[in-house]
Amino acid sequence: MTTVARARPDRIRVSFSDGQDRSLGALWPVPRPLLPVRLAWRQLRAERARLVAAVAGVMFATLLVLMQLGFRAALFQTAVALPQAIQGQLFLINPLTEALFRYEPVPRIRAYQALAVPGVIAAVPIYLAQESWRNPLTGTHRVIQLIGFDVKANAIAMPGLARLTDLLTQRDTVAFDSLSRPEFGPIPELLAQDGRLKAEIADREVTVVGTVKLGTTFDADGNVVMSQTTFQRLVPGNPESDVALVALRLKDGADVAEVRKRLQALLPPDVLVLTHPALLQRETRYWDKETPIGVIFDFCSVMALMVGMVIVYQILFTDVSNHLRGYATLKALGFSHGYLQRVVLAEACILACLGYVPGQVAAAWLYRYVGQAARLPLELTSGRCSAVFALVVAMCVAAALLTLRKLREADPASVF
Amino acid sequence: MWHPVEASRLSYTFGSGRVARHVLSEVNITVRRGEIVILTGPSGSGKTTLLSLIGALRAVQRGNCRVLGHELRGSSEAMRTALRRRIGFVFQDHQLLDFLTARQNVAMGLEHDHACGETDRVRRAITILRNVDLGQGMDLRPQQLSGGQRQRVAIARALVRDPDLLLADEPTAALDRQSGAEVMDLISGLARGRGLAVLIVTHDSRILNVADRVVAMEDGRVGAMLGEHVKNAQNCRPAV
Repeated sequence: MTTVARARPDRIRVSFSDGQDRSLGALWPVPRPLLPVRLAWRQLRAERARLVAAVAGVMFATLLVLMQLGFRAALFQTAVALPQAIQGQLFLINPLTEALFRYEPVPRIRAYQALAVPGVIAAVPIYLAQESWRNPLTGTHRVIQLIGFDVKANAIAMPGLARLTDLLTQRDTVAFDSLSRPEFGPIPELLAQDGRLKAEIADREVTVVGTVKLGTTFDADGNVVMSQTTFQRLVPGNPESDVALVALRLKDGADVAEVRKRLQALLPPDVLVLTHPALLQRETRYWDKETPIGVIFDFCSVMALMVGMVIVYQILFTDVSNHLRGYATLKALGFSHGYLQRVVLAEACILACLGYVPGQVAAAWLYRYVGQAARLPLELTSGRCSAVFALVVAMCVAAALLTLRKLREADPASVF
Repeated sequence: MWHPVEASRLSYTFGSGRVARHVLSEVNITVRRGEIVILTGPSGSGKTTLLSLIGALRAVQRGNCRVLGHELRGSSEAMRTALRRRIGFVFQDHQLLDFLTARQNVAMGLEHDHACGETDRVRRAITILRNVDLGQGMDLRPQQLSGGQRQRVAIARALVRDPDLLLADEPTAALDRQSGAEVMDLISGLARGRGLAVLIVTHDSRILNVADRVVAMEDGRVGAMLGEHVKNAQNCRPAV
C-alpha cells in the first residue's frame, strides 16, 4: 500500500511500496511568472561545463568593463586632483589653456587687477613646471611636477602642508608628495630618519623638509610643493610674470556669478574667469574629448561588452539548438512560443547574475592591486557597479534576443 | 453531442506547385469517448500527418477537423496551443526533457493549470508515476531509465492533466515485445478507466488487439475495404 501524505505545508513525504519513507525536500511555492525562470535554471544546471564557460565569459566581460571604467574614472579624478585642491571661488586662466599640465601663461598683473574688483579679497598666482628630480639613493633622474605659490596664503588644500608653511618660506626648501611613484626614491622613509633630506631638482640642491599628499596623475608621476621664491630659483626660465593660473578668494557672501561677470568685463581677453566647477569640468573635458584616452577607454568597454555578448550568444545558441526538440515537445504539450522565449531570456538573466558576481569580486581585487601598483585612485563605487550590472544584463538580453530567432525553428509537428 | 475527434474530407498537402505532395486526401474519421482506435498503414500513408492535424500541431488546410468540440480549420495558433493542453501526447521516442527528472517531466504537464500549486503538481505527478509503476524511479533523469520506463514516464506526463483525448505515435516502436505489451496494457487500462478517447498510430501488429477499431490507411486515404476492422484485428491484418 502506498500513500502520499503532506507532512508540512511546504514538504511532501512519500511512502514507497518498498517500505522506504522519503521526503522530497522543501517545495517552495513558485509564482507563475517565475516558472520559466525555474525551467531555465534547471536547463542551465544540467550542462555544468557549458554553464561554467558561459559564466566565465560574462565574468570576463564584467571584469574588463569594470577595469576600463575604473581606469577612466581614475584618469579624470587624478587629472583634477590639483585644481580640486586649489582653494578659491574663481580662477583666471589663459583662454588657450586646455589643461593645466600644458598651460598657456597668464600675466601676473591680472592678479593685481582682479583685486580691484569689489568682492575679491585675495589673488594667489600659482606656478607649475616639470623638472628633473634626482633619486637621492640611486642617482637616476625622473621628471617631477613643481608647484609654486605663496605657501602662507593657504591657496592649496593638501594634507601635511599647514605644518610646513614656515619651513617652506625658507629658500630652496620643498615638500615632497608622499603619493608620488616609488621611482623618485623612498623619500618619506629617508625623511623619517633625519627629519630633513638633501635632494636635487633641475641640477640644483634643495632641502626636503616634509611630505604632503596630492597624488600622481597621468601627466605627473610625482609632485613637489614650494614657495614662489624657490620656484623661481629652480625654474629660472619661467618668468615671474608668467603664472599657470590665479586663484581668487571672494568675500564671504559675495555673489560669485556677479563678481565673475565684473572680472570678465574688467580684464582683457587674455584671461578667462572660471568658477571652480567650470575649471574642473574644463580639465576633465580635455582628457575625455580632446585626447584619445577617453575614447580608448569607452571603445575598450564597448569591445568587452561585444565579446561578452558573442560568448553568451554562442552559449545560448548552442543551448537552444541542442534543446530544439525539447522546445518543440513543450510546444506540443501546449506551452506557447512566448513561454519558451521567456525561458531563453531567463537563461540570459541568470547568466548575467552568475557572471557578474565573480566579475565584480575579481575587479575589486584588481582595483586594490593595480591601484597600489600604479598609484591610481581606483575605487569601485556602487554607482559604477550598478551601471555595469545593467550593462551586463543588457548584453546578455541582447544575446538572448538574437538567439530567439533560432527558437522559431522549434516546430511542434516535428515531434511526431 | 460531439465526439472527441470528428474529421471529414480532411486533406493535407506538403509544398506547393510542382513539388506539392498530397499526403492526406478526403479522410473521414471519428473517435468516440472511451474508444481506442488504432491507425495503421505503411510508411508514408499519412498516419502521422493525420495525427498531427488532430493534435492541433498543424493548421488544417482543407476539410474539417473538429477536436474536443473545436473546429481546427481556420483556427489561430493561440487557440491550437490552448487546445493542445487538453490533449495527452505520447511520442514514439518519448521526447522527455533530458535535464529534468521523471517527476519534473511529469509535473511540467501541469504548469498550465492555474489552479494547481507547486505541492499539488508534485503530488499529482507522484501519484500518476506510481500508477505507471515508477514509484522508485521518479527522481531519475531519462537517460538513467530503461526504454520501457521512459515510455511509462511519457504516458504519465500525457495522462497527468486528465486529458479528454490521448494521441500516441508508435508508442511501442522502441520497446521489446514484453515492454511493448506492458505499455499498451497500461494505456488501455488507464484509458478505459478514465473513459478518454485514444488514437494510436502504429506499425506494430502485436498491439492491435487492444483496439476497439483498427483504421487502415494507404496513400493518404482510409482504405474503402479496410476502413475499419473490429477488435482483435491482429488476425485480419490490413492487406496493404
